[in-house]
Parts: sequence; C-alpha cells; structure tokens
Amino acid sequence: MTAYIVRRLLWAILVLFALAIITFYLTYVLPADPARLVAGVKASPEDVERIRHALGLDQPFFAQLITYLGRLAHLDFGHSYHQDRDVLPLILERFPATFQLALAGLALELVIGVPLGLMAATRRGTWFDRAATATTIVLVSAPSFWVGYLILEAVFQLHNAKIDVFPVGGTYKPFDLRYLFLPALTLGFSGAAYYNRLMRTTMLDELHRDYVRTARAKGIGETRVRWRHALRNAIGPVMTQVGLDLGFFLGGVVVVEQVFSWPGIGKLAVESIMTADVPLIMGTVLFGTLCIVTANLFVDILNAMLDPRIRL
Amino acid sequence: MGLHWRGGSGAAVVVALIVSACSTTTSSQPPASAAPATPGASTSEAPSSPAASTIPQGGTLSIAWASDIQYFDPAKGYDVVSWPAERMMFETLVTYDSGTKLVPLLADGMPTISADGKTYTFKLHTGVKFVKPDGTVAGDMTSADVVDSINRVLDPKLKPSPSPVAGGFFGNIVGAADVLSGKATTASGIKAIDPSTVEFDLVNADATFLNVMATPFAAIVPKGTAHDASVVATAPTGTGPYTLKSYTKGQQATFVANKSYWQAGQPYLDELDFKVGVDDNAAIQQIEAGTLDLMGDTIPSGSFTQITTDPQYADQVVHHTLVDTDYLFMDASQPNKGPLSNVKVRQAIEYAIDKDNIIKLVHGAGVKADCIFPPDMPGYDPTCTPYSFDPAKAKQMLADAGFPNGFKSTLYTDTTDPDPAIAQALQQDLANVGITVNVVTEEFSTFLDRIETPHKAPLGWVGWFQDYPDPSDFIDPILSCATAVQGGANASWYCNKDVDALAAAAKGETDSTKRIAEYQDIQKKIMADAPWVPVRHQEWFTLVGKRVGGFSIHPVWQYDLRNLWVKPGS
Amino acid sequence: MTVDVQALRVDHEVAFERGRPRFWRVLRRNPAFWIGAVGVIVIIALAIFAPLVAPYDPDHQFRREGLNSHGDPVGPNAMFALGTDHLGRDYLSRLLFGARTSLTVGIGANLLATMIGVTVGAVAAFAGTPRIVLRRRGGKATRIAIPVESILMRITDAVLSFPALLLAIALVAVLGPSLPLVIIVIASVLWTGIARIVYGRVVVIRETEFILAARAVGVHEARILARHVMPHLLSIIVVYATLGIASTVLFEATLSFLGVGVPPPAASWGGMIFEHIGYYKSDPRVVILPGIAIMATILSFNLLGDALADAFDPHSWR
Repeated sequence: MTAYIVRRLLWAILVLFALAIITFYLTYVLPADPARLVAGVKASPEDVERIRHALGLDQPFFAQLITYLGRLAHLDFGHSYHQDRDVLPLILERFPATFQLALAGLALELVIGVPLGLMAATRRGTWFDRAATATTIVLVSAPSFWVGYLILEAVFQLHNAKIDVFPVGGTYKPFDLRYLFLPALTLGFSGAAYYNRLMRTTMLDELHRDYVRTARAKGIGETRVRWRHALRNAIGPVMTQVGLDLGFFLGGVVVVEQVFSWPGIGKLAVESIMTADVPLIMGTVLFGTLCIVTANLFVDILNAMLDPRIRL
Repeated sequence: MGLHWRGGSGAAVVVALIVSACSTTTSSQPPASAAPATPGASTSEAPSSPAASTIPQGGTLSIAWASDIQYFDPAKGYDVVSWPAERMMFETLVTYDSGTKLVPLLADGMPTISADGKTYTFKLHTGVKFVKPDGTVAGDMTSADVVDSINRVLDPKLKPSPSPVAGGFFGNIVGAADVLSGKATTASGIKAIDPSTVEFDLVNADATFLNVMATPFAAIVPKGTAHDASVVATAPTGTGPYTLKSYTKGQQATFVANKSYWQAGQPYLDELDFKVGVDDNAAIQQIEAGTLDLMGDTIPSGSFTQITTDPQYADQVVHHTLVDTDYLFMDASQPNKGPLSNVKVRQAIEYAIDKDNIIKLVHGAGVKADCIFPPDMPGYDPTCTPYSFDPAKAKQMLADAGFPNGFKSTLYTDTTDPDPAIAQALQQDLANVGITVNVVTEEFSTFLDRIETPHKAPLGWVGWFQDYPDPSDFIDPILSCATAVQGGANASWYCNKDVDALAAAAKGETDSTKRIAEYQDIQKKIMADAPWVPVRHQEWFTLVGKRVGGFSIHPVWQYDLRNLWVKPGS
Repeated sequence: MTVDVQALRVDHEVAFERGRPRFWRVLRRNPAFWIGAVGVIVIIALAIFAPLVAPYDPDHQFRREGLNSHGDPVGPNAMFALGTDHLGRDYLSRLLFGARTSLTVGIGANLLATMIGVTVGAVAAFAGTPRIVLRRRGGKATRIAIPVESILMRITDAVLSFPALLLAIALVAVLGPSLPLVIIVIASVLWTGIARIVYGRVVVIRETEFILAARAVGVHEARILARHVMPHLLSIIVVYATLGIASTVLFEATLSFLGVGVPPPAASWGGMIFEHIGYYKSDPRVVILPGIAIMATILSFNLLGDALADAFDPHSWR
C-alpha cells in the first residue's frame, strides 16, 4: 500500500515538474517582450533595457529556467508584471471564490443529475428513461457560456419587469447565495447530463450483477435491493468522478467565471493571458495542474484502499 | 505620449492625458454624435464653480475601476488607476490649473529659469507636512526631501524594477547618467541650496522639463523612503490632501481626508473610495442604482447608445475629446522599394479611408482627425485638412503611381476592442481601391513588440496619447529619425532630416507664439509626406452619479479627484 | 493509473460478430438516430454550400444599410433576414459561413485527435512491455525491457492532468491565433480521451483466444494488430469520433468566445458571440443566434453518436 502511495506521489511530482518546464518554455518563446510589459508602452528603450536587466530577463534560457525552478521549490511563483504582487498570494486570494463556485456547481450537477440517472436506471426503457436521456443530451449540447448569457438575459428581463430575485451586476460577496446561484446553475446544467448518464450506467451495471439476482431470488424487496445493495456499489464511480471534477474545477472554471465576472482563478487566468502577464500565466496553469494532480492522487489512493485489485 | 492602450477587462497601462483649451464644468453636454464645431468645445457654458466658502464640506464618494491599483509608489505608477491613486496622497512642485497652464503647488511660485534655459531654481513652501496613513505627521518637507525623491526615481536598483521613465524623463539632469549606470547614487545636478530652495541643472535646455516635474513621477516623498515599491505600498507617506486609510487588494482602497493638509479648507470630502475590479457594465448598473458615484472607465459600447440617448441621464453623461490621435500608419521606408515607400501611394491611401464610417462604428465617440495634433494640443491647426475622402481619386493616384490593380499587404492591430472592428473597416476601405490587406490582430504587447521592430508591420492601426500638453510630445517620440530604430515608437519608420532639424529648433524655441507656428509648419510638412492617415481623436464618455459635485474631465489628469465635493441635498 | 472499468466489461463480440442486420434494425428504430443524422447532414450541407446559399458576402460591411445612425447593428428586416452585426455585415451569411469554420475545425481537430489517440492507445495496449534481446559480442545476451505501455499511458495521464482549456488558451495566445494552430491545439488536448478508451478495449481484446491463437501460429505482431484487433475497435472509434466532433466544436466555440479562436474576419460562431457580448442586453439576438447554431450542431452529433453507440451494443453503452 505504502509503495503504491509513494509511487503515485513521485509520479505526481514528476508531472508537475514537466509541466513547469513546458510552461516556462512557452512563456520564454512568447513574442511579446516582458520587460516592455513591465515598463509600459511609453518608456524609452533605454529604460526598458534597465528593467530587463533588473528582472534578469537578459539571461540565457537555462539560467532563467534554473532560477525559476529554484524559486518554485520555495513556493515562490514569481511576481506579476501587471499587478505588482507575488503570484501565489494573488492566486490564493481568488481561491475562495472558485472554491465556492466549484462546490456549488458540483452540488447542483449531482442534485440534478444523480436522481435523474437513478430513476432512469430503474425505469429503463420507459418514456421517463428516454425523456431524461433526451433532456440531458440537450443540456450537455448547449455551450455553457451561451447558457450563461441566456440566464443573464433572463435576469435582466426580470429586472426590467421589476422582479429582482437575483442581483444584476454588482460586486461579488463571499458566500452570498444570491450571487452564487446563477453561475452554479450554469455549471450545473452543463455537468448534470454527464452525472445522469454515469449514474444510470453504473446503476444498470450493478442491477445486472449476480448478487442482485441472488438477492432478488432470496426474496428481498426490490426497494431494498436497489437502495441498500446496488446503489452502494454504483455510487463508487460517481464519487470518483466527483473527486476528479473537483480537482478540475478548483483550477478555475474559466468559462462560467468569465460570463458572470466571477472573481475566481479562471477569470484571473484569462486576464493574465490577455495581458501577457507571463508569471501569472505560468502560475495559474501550474496551480490548475496542481489541483488536478492532487485530486487524481487522492482519488487513486482512495480507490486503491477500497479495492485492492487496483494497485497497478 | 504613449501608444493607445485601453483595456476593458485588462489592465490599462497607458495614461490618457487630456489637454483642453477651456476648462469644463459639472454640467453635462448633449451627447455628441457629430463633432463639436470648435476644438475642445465639449462644454456648453463658462465654468462657474462655487466660491470656496460655499462648497459643502464632508461626505463620501466612490469611484469604480476595472483594474486594480498597480502601484502606490509614484516612481513606478504609469497606468490609469495608479496615477489618480498616487495623486490623492502625493504632490509635485508644479502642477496644472484646471486647464493646461502650469502653476506652482509645493513650490512657492514658479521657478526662476536661467537665461540659457539649463538651470531651474525652485523655492519651496514651508510648513508642508508629510503625513502617514494613520494620520500622524512624519515631518516637514524640505529641499533634502526633493533631492532624495528625484534621485530615488533614477535608482536603477529600485525594486521590483527600475522606474519606467528614469532615463526618458529625468535623463537630461546633470549627473543623472551616472546614477542610471550605477556609478553614483545621487545626481550632481540636483542641489539643495538651502532648506527651502532646490536647484536643477540640465544638460540641455528643454522646455518640457516643467511638464515632467508636474507628472506624478516627480512627486515629493520623505527622504529615506525605501527604494522598494512594495514597502512604500504598506505605508505611503506624502503631502497630499488624502491619506490611505486601508487597502484590500482586489476590492477597495479607502482614502480619508488628511487632517494636517498644508492647504486650509481642503479636501472637501471626508472619504473617497476606489472600488477596484469592477467591470464597466457593473459600474454602469451601480451608478444607475445610485450605489456608485463615478466610474474610471468609459461607457461600454454595448450600452452606449442606450445611455447617451436616455433623457434620464442627460445631466449625468460627461464627455470630452481626449488629446489623442488614432491613426493608420504606413511603413514609409518599406524595404525593397515596396509600394508604401512611394509617397504617392501613401497619399492615395489618405484619400481612401472613410473616417466618418469609423467614427460611426464607435457610436460617435470621436472627432475626425485630419492632421497630427488633437484639438486641445497647442499647435492644433483647424486649417490643416490636406486630404478628403475620395476613393475615385485614390484609385487614380494608385494607377498613376504604377499600381492600377492595387497590391497586397497586411494590417496589424491589437485585440482590444474596438481595434479589430476598426481594422476590418479599414480593410474594406482599402479593398475598395484595390489594395487587398490581410488583417492580423495580436495581443497588445505582442503587437507593440512588432511595431517597434523595423519593418515588421507594413500597415497598422494604433493610437497615441499625450504625455504632457506640448506638441513635441507628438513629434519627437513617433515621427523623428531618432526613434525610427528598434525599440522606438516610430511605427511608420518615418525619417525626414529636414523635418527633424525643424523639430529640434522648435523644441528649444523660447518664443511661444513662434514655437506654435513652427510646429504647425512641421505638421503640414509631415502630412505632405503622409506617413500616417490620422482618423480620429477619441472622445471619452463617462457616467457621473447625481451626488457628485466639482467633477469635470481634466485636460491632463482626465479624472482630477482632489477637488470633488458632495452635492447638498443628495 | 485508473482503468476504464466500463471498457473492461465490454463484450465486444456482440458488436460485430452477431451480424449487421441487428445493428441496422436497432438504429433505424431509434428516433435519436434520425434526428441526429438529419441534423448532421443539414449542417454539413449548409457548410459546404454556404457560398451558394448565403445571400451576401459574409465579410462585406454594409455601412449605410447595415448600421443605424448610432452605429448599432440593425435587426431583422427586408434586406437582412437575421439582421446585421456590429460592422454591418449580414448575420445570416455569417452564420452560414460560420458553419464552415466550426466544422472545419471540429472535424479536423477530431480527426487528428482520433488518429493520435487510437495509435497511442492501441500501441500501448498491444505492445505491452516488449523485451528486447541484445546480443553483445562475446555471446552474452542482455534483455532490456522497454515499458512502452507504461510510458505511453503515463504520458496520457500527464496530458490529462493539465488544465486543458487554460493550456489551449495559453498556447494560442502565445503563438498567435490561426486556423491550423487552433486545430492542432484542440487535438493535442483532446486525444487522451479516446486513447484511454481504446487502450482499455485492446487490453481486453489482446487476451482473447483468437489473438493468442494467432500469436501461437506465429503471425507477426503488427499484422495481428492491423488485421485482427483493429476491426474490433471500429465500433468504438466510430462512436467516439462522432461524439468527439461535438466536443471539438464546443472547444472551438469556447476558444473563440474567449477571444483566442480563429482570427477575424473569419466568421466563427463562438467568435460572433465574443464580438457582441456588450450587446446582450440591448440586442440579444446577436448573442442568441450563434448559440443556437452551436447547440444544434453539437446536439446533432451527440444524438447520432449516442444512437450509434446504442446500436453497436446496447449493453455496454447503456
């Protein structure tokens, strides 16, 4: 067991390391001049050179790479060009907003998707099954940014009709459900379809297994069979997926944050890319990878603990 | 001054400084879909600010910005949010009145200038106090503080990186070169004669030195202030009317009145809040709802028509033509005898561009530009109208120049709205006369890099804002031989030695009437060479809350927040 | 490395061995198939015949008729069936040409992703960990095991660990947007899905008896892969390729929406939304219409892919 954990941990670190190098390389070949970015558009060429030298940007590639990796080891993600602040604190500051959105979004995905999936599984082949599947396919086909704008448009129309359930614009307040609900709902719609089908598939798988047949043969009531036996096994892959999705979301839910101007890491990442704020780009991509890799690690270890077969 | 950079959700790195011949009032002007008849006449009546004694004291106002404050350190800040923030807390020796005239501030009277124009002697006010954010007094300002402040800006070891204008703005001071190269820590040309007298010696006479001393870079900070912007940000200490009570990054900076401010009766407000990270759409909504008073950004194009035509907001829409020119530049020294190196081709292109359409695309937020200088810049010449919109003539001229079937080229611009849209409009204008261009949009810094590299962009759409209200600012950085080099901002690689000589003479000319006439002549000569097609001067439209008193768009500062008050009964 | 449990349980023989007639029968009976197929055909036809169907040149800016006096787009009228955009261009024409862009990128990227993914997955599963025998001079033989399977699957995992959208945005922003680049970037982040699934499938297949028999007889590995394994992958590849187009179209729309898609003036649905975001309150049409187009496309491919999956083997997919 320990060997497995150690192996997975080492692998995770290797992945992060590789990505750090790749990201650094990408930003190194960026056509834009970072010294010019810091200096601003009006600075004279000499002043730009001075800044370039002060930031160590005139060093050769490997020297800069080593410096960067060395700083990373101390959890120094660098200093943003556009915001005169260190990158890691900047990212962590946005983390709560993304965290809330991720949790709320996932919760809504599960709340919408899982019950539908369960009901579809138990009513397989009926109109309900088909209707549920059709609805979820439609939902998953609608691009989340578009759904987001439709929702905003609806809110705006309600606002015009003097129905102010949700705030229109305004600054985000932490843990304020009224602000959180709409972006979370947008996320929820996009992902619910996936959880619906996943739940349905895993539940169906379980319901076809021998032990279910045995239980039924033994005379156990259908309800008990489903909820006490089949479901407990079926929920496993779903929970695995939740873990993976959480890791993915914590790296920033780019599209939804952009649509709703949600001040999370995803929006920060997009801003940094649009302003070519190189250290911040690297920081957000690395952070996103860190979240995904960590989540994968936990999920794998958890699965390995629960199922000894999966210790490859 | 700077290349046009206007960010909606991104950080605006360029400061827009506006010059206005006449000062503006708080009353709004009707939304101008047609250009005003006279330059800078976005005001409808003469200014009539109430006498100081009747201005209500107290109250809190709030202003929203899309980007966060980048620096509280006057040596570093160079963007549209940092400058207003710095100007709340720091002051300079000279500044501008409500227009473009330089007046003394921390200096007691304008400086005496030697006959050769190389020595400036300032007498300082006494009793000016440096105040810390918590309100405690940190000492009186003396000449030693002035000397230290400027040396600080020159320091190449300033953290996190040197000042972006150390050489550009202050390099002309005697001894500055040694500081910049690290050979010295102080410049010999900055002298404290006595505790209330400072002398600056310049290498060359330069009429723009006082303008430089009015920029926030020349703000006076206490001697011994750390050479580190992050340290300064924790406790910015200056002489200004406000102090920084608190700052939550990404949320809000709260400025409160400086109780020990050296000028009595000011500031009028108790508190002014900078709410940062609020995008322009959200800001509009908040001003409409009355929860916000001012917005630092312009009215977004999606809501533009709706707000400017809504009679409810007629009093609250304030606009002003910026001291800026947006232009299509052409590579006048295109290698291999490219078509653009032929002046007749460039002149033909001047006739091909439909400027009215482009102004229409931006909903009328602009004034047609026929020449280089914007309306409020000294040197503006309303009679300078060398070219008109005449596609037939353009085609004819192209045929005469040897291009009856036009030619192919590429037009570059940045991705900031509305530049891609305008670039596509230009593309169609050029197609109409037979010139097929490919439009390439790049992220702004990439674009900047490209146009600063010789001949990498044959055609491009860009804008230039003033640094200070002097015509040399529109000629030397972007149209002189010296800047037609790698890293220079002369995107059309225009180099005319005769014009250069005239510009050098004009820069040192002391007779101001003669100087203006010389620059007007230079402008005409450059337009004959046609390195650019000037298209528009931007117009800034903003929505002002009902409670705000004393607001006007300042020619130089755009937002001069120091003199605001709360309207009584609101 | 987690194994795709679902794929392991596949009874692949059902898919093809039992014969085609069943497949077609199930397919025909499924309304989703018809809706999806018709949708896909219509959209592809519109894309191909856009120049013939579109009323105007999609890049032509109608400055007088296409914009009102304030410079805003005009709504649907006699001249422009769906109104104009912010530059005065006919919206209907742009939507039609947008189909070209979206499908070119979608199908192109998916093709590339599928090729990469199938190759990686199949090779990884099939090659396993080959042991190479080196005979040195002097007679001593050293065996080196090259963990092909391990390496390939770990690379897949690593790529999966990267935040795909962020990486894609960063890549396009860094290298400058262009159609070919967008295709390559999308393919390079989306190939992992099909790689894992194919890997899972081939892992099962390689242990089946007829493969072992082929090996025992001495058929060359590559031949086994090509002639015996691949046909069994066909069903998976077809289904995931179809579904994959939905993903790539969505990805392209998302990139365009964030401003890093195919550059202007090319018409692209996501890009059209991006250009008009500010108008969503005053003129929602400009934001809603491209979204409907995207959704219809994605929906058609999803329905078709789903129907195919169902027809191939109701058990494993449902």
